[in-house]
Amino acid sequence: MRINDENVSAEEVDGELIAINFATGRYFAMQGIAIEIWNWLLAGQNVEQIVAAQTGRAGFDPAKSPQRLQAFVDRLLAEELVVPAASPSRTSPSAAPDTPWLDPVLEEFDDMAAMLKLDPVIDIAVDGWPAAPA
Amino acid sequence: MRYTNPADLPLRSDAEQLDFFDAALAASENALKQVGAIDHDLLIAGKRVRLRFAGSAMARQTMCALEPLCAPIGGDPDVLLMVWDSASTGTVMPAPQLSNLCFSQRGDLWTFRSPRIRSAFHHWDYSLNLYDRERGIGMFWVQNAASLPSWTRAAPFRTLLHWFFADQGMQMVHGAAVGIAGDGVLICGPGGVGKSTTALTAVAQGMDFAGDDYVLLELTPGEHGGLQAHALYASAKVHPAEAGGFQSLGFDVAMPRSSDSAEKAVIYIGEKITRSLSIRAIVTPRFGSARETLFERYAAECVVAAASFPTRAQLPHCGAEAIAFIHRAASTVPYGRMVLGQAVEQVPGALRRLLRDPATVLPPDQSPPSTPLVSVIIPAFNAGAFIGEAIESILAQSHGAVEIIVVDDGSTDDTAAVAARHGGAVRVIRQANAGPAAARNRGLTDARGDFVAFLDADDLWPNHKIRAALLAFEDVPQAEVVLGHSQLFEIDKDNGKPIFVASPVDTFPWSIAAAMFRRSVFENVGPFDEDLRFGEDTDWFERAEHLRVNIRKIDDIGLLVRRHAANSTRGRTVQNIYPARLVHKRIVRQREARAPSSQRPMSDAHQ
Repeated sequence: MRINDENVSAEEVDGELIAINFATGRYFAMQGIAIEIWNWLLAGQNVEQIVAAQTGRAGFDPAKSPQRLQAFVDRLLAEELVVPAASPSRTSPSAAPDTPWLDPVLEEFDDMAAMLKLDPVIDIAVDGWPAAPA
Repeated sequence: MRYTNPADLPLRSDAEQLDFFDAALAASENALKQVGAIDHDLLIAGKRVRLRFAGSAMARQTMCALEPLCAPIGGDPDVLLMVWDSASTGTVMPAPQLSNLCFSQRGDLWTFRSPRIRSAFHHWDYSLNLYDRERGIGMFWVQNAASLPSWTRAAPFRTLLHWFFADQGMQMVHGAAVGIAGDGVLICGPGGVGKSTTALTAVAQGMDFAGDDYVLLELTPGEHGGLQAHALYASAKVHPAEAGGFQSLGFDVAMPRSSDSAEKAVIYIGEKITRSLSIRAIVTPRFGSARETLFERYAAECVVAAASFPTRAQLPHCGAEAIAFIHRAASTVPYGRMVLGQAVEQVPGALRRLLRDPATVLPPDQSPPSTPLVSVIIPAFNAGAFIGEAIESILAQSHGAVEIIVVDDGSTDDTAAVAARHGGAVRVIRQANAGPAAARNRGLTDARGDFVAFLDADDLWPNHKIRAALLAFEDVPQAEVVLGHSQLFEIDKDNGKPIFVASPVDTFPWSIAAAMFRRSVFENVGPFDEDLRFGEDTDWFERAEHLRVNIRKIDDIGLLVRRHAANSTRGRTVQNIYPARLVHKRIVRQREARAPSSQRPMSDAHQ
């Protein structure tokens, strides 16, 4: 996957990853495991690879953690913070860090939409002109 | 990030823009060949406007509003406008390969600023508008005539007519014009302040009607000259719920195609349209609480802003010349504010009284009051090249009680010396470089006025900025901040004069320097966050909104932003302007607010 860099800015501040989607005006905070997962996704790993690498890590519950990981990734996709990359990079799965696994949390905020959401996103149709709604 | 500042995009060359126009012209001629040409001539303000439709699809949609202004076809037109759609002609309009960044809210195409070729794309009807000022040829194109919204059917080809008539020395203005026996009142202001209802009530009671939304102004010189308002459209727009009343009065009404759309109903005025009115007064309406409609004095600049701002916000390429025109217009007749009474049916009577003796009903504006004191703070870092102009734009304000505090933020140039040349009008404070937020905060500690405003050293204010803001505070005494719009400008390389770039609705909406503040609001919201080198203005407004500070947004220009190579935000994307640090601070504040008070930091818990 890759950052939806057409619309999204993501930057670490004081140990948190702050992602802003300027198309929707929504913004997000991630900490700890969520940042690890974010980085693994951007490095080209998929959910299955992450699960395989994290199985055995302290706190990783094979019965529940994979679904919660999948749900987290689904949220990132649904909020269009990341998009599937055309050609995923081939990186070897990361070894599980020493810290225990905690299910990832995506903190979501939408109270600054009036300031963050700039102009409406204009989609250009194939004929080169902004497309009228169907 | 796609959100590069579009003002930073490189301009397309004049030759490229002419090539695009010629390609569009070839497509238009092909469309005419496919389905045949249908001509209609309009006579507006003595000018012959020829509409050349490709087939009947577009004519059916648009001619209802124009029919009463038609004249028999004849002679050479003053302008030729070609009108077509792709759906009925099977013809494609070539595209100049613009990125989505180039399509502005007002319609101007960023990067297309040829002095010869005018171009705009409107999102409200998905229309392309092109005009060659040398050849007097324009084009209006949409994908499908059947999908034209009601506002286009009520007021078609507005942008093309604006460009043509501006070249004839006339100015289209967002306003209504009604009257009696050829004399009229021009009613200007943004949407939703009662223009249409007033105009339609007047026409229903037998008054002359020359427009409810846009009219064309002409200033004729000489003893018998004056201000004329010419009709452009024999139509008006109302909320669908009000349309039935006009139907029963005999007007043709077109209801919106879908009841769940935001479209208005269109009332066709037909032959009852009055082609021209001699304007005897200009008013801007506001809603009052009394039963009867009254008139009151109002500052000339505010009347001009009420007329020019919505006009400039909607008409592509409409610049400072529109403001100057409306200024001249307002200098020829009495002007003021119309306080609309609850009894709508009595409004025409009030307009008749106004027209009988406009000079008595609307006496000239009194000289501006000398209080309250307004403190203006200029944070300045190496701004010697521009700060003199910034100070002069404050000294030129139509409000006299002003103190200017320049905070020299560790400049290594002659900033302080240039500021000090203005003598006792300016206090200069020096500090080691700490950023604009810290400099503004330093100025705040020295400010003595009940009101405070900030101006960056390279920007300017329009002359009426302070007066307009104070009048807005008077209108809404509970307001703690009045926030206007920013207008980009740059210096014309050829003549050294400032020219406006794009429209004030296409600029950053939260500029500290476009606002004016009650000084007391900083006790509530706190100072600017000195950690932030960019985005400190957004951060302050965000905190203010969170605290439910009463911010009154006004439709007026509160700031002129200079575009130059050294702009601190030039070349930056919104990624820089809304840094993650700003958003992170907001998140931390939210978490603190959510946490039980015992878990909050001591500083918060004691507040």
